[in-house]
Amino acid sequence: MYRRALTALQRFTLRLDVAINRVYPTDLNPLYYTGGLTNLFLFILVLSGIFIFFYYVPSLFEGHASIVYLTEQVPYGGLIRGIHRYSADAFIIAALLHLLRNWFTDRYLFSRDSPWISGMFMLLLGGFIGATGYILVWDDRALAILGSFDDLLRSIPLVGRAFADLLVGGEGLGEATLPRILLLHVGPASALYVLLWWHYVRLRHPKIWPPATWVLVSLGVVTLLAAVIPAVSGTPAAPGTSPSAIALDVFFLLPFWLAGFLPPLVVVLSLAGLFAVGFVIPYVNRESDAAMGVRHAGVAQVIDGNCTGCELCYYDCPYNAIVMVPSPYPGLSRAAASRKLLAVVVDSRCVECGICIGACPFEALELPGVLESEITRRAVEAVSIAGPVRA
Amino acid sequence: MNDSGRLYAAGVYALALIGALCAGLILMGERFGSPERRDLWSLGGAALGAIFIVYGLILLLLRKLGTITPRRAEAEDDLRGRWTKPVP
Repeated sequence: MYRRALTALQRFTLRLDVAINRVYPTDLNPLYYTGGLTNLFLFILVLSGIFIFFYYVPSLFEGHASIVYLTEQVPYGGLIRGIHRYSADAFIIAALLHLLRNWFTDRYLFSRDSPWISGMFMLLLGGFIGATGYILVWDDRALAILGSFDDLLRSIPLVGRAFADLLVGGEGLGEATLPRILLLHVGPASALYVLLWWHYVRLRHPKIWPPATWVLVSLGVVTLLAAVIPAVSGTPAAPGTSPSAIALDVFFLLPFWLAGFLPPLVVVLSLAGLFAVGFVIPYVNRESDAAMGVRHAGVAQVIDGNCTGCELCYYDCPYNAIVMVPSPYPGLSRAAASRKLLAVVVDSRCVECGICIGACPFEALELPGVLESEITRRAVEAVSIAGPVRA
Repeated sequence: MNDSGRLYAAGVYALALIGALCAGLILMGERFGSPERRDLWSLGGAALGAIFIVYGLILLLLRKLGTITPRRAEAEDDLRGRWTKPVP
């Protein structure tokens, strides 16, 4: 049932690609750049966040006023605040599209598990950073969110109270509260870049940045939104008064909104369950190796004497499993005699796919469990099954 | 140039005109706004956003026209690095 649903979603994704490719040149299909767009919005968030950081005062008495000053008095300050606000939403939208696309197209299994797991951490951190961003505005909504956040944390058995004290800076609100929230906003945002390194480390050709067309259009859309529907603050937070209802923001405030209807522990457990599913999904409910056609061919090995250092295998390996090192001695074959580089396979990264063997014109790579003659036989067989290509 | 090419070229000119108008709006806002210019910041911001979108769409149309080519990184992916590293 799960596999059938996933296959249907995969077909839908691929048909959508084909439909979009009819309109745009294929290298400009925006769905190919959902990851790059997420990265772009993160970059916009960091730049606009640095600007806001110069004006923000993390104090219970001045926090709200500093944001109002930024919005109303600083030239184009309100615009940059709006860009920060809408880029945060766009970041989550792009990240969710990226997640769904990779889920539907099976790009989260086997060697793709590390981008998936790092992506789940980034999504979790992204949601947390967004929620703390709402609190920093320090208006009536911020107070309601902080109260709800405190309730959610305190509902966790054993460690909940400690977490809540860590968030608020003690038993109740105090001068330590907003500096802590600011730290919890900026610190994890910096950690996102460490996670990005983890996200990319196993990918040979990651699309880190979208094409200029989509950079300009995305920047334009968030700027236009920031100008037309400006981000505004509510009334200043007044601790001790009953907080107002939390407006629904599906990207960042959904758990706090749900906490208004459900017991806090149920909300915490639902969130934890959702992310737990996300974290384990690459390892469960997948087809067997045999059903997926996985061969256990052994890690690729370089035939030292034949390697010319041409780097073709290095460029072709999708898993960054081949590195080029300075050759300590010349190769044995005539082509390899004057080589400058030597290919080395990183065992822990090799998935035994055999792509490097197809890439090498010098017969300098092999899979120990599969003879090259066998690969050639299978390739010829596959081509003959496909039949002749018609003009 | 075929019909679709002419259409794309006309689109580029139209978008360039819209972009110029938006730039004019920003300049007018700065020139004729109140001394603090606060009242026209949102208008300037909207015009700036529109300029970004217009320039992005111009790039898209130029790409469809064939005036600009895929970016180097894309071509490098397709050519397995041969763009910068010739096959020996």
